Amino acid sequence: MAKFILRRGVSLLITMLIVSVAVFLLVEAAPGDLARHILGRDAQPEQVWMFRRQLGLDEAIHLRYLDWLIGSDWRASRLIGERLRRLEDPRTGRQNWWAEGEDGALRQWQMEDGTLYELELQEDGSTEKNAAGDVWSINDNDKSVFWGVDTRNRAVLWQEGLIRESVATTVGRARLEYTGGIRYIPLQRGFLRGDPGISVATNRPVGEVLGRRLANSAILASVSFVVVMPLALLFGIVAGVNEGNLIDSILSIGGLITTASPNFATGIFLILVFAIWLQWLPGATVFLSSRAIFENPEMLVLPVLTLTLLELGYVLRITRASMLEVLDAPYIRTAILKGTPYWKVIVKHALQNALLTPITVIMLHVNWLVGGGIVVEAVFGFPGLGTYLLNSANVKDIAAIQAGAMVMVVLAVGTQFIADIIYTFLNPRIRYD
Amino acid sequence: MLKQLTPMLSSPKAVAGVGIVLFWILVATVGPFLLPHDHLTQHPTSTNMGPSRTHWLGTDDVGRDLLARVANGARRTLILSPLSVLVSLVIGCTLGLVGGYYGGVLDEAIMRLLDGLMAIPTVLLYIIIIASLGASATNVVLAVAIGGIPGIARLVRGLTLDIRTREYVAAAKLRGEGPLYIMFVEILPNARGPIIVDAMLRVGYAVFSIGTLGFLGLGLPPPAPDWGNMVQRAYSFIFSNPWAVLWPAVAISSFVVGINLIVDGWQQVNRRYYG
Repeated sequence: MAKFILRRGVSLLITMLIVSVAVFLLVEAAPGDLARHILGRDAQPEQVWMFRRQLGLDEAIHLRYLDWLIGSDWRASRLIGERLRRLEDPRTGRQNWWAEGEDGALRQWQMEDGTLYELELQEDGSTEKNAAGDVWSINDNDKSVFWGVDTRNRAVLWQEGLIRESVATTVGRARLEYTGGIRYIPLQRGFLRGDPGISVATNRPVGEVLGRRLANSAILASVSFVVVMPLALLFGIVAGVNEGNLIDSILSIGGLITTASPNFATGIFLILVFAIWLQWLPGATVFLSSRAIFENPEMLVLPVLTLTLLELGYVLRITRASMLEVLDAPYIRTAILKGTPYWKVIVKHALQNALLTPITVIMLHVNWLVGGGIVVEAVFGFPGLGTYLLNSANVKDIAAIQAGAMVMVVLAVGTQFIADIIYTFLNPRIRYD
Repeated sequence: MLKQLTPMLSSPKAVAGVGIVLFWILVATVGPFLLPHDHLTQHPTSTNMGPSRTHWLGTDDVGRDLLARVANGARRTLILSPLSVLVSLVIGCTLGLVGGYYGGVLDEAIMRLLDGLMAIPTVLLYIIIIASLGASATNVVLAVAIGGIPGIARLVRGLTLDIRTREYVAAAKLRGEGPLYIMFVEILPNARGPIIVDAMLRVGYAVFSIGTLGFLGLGLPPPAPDWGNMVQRAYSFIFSNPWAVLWPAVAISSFVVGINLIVDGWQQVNRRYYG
């Protein structure tokens, strides 16, 4: 058993590694659009080129993948020759990167009109600005250069005396600045260390928003799960026991229709009926505060109902099929011939065996549920992981798409792993070795 | 083939399904020629109207006839969905055949790759692909096709593992046939039953997926009337004109339900007669 779990775990890690590379490459495939999106349509080719360079997009792809996965601070630290530290600015709450000198002072650098300045962090959080001394060293091309940390959380290679246009981004907009950087590495701790980079659209760390969105989605998914499971199993059993009857036909056809209807169509039908026609429930979710879900739980009713219908039909059909199979088994016939009351046969003999399949299928179905969740969130404007991902995809926010997609994949694969393990406990006939 | 199909008439489910699917095929093929309105003509005087005598299903927010748009959308959907299934069938069957027939390291590599692909929730996969390639008919077909590959490849691989041990495959080997011949002429045709049923279901699922992509704004670019993007556009006006949302949504649901009914009925009948 332990060996099986270990082997599954290792193959799981390999799978996730492959997926992370694939997700990374796919999302990276069209980064030119991002520059165009931020800079506007009138951007000059040089500006687009410069902007890409400042995002670190001209670094080698394997380096960027590693930066994204495990962080770029190690690499940058080696280039700068000093330890890098990330500190929260108590005044703004933002995270800033500093280079820690041998004297223990934390510094950033800034270049204005060809002159390099040194910003030293003071006790009170402010900085003291001085002209940097002779920090330059000569590189292979006989240029006088210096690696340091700038004020925008990047490791920058400056060239002495160089004045070059650069683009500074603030929330989705861009303005021009003049610095002398020739190479940029955005500093981040990496996905595995909880810092998947800065969202270009909002200019804030992706990790901050992602956690909150994930929590919202988790609430939606878990409430739906708690609602749908007992219902689907019950309906499935009832349909199975009444095979061929009117009840069975109604439940089966109903199940078929709810499974076959696209999730967004189901959501919209529900909105049409309950929000527009009957006007019982709100048709959209509006989040004014982070506790909105608990203050207005009725907002959750329609999204949960949509997800429930999406899952209900599927689980119902599986449970029904499983029930039919079990009822066909000789030991059920024996129990009935023995004179055991019918309800007792169902409850004591059939149920236990009939529930095995649906329970595993439910857990293996998480992938589907995650996808359905994205659509349901889009229908109701629910501020979860799915809408975050969709909005990021619309503005080509690379860091956000990569992080959001990876979190979803980890969730889906992780749940399947747990499902596998639970299955081995539930079904004693299965042996893995 | 016809002889195999006649028992299906005994299943009301299958008959209903065939009826629904035939209805949409009819709408898609002759509908646009018979209808009084064009799907792109805007009638500025009658926007966001409910069903009326001139516009049987009503009009959308710029006054385009909904019936004409639904019919035209049917045409698009009925071309793109089977096309995407065909693409994933070609790639999936090849991967499955190669993996199942050769086995060993090659099989292992293919399966790991497909596992990786399967680990990504389908809708997420679509979002990533469309976000990086851009929204167009080709990319929609491609995204839906890629999403279907792992399932088909696994199915075909399983069937191949079974069929390659049969006598007629051994006979072909003895005759000196090459591996390509054995895979595509001996094994594939003998695995066709489950593959066809699976492909049928996938056409329904492709309709579903293309609709979802359209709804998420990742599908065909406007003004092409695609059921999904019709829903998306009309969704902003749902309070003033629910009809424009209702029709395309009903269209998608009914088509997918139709296909599922056919497959359900087909399997039921097959169990009864041959199983």
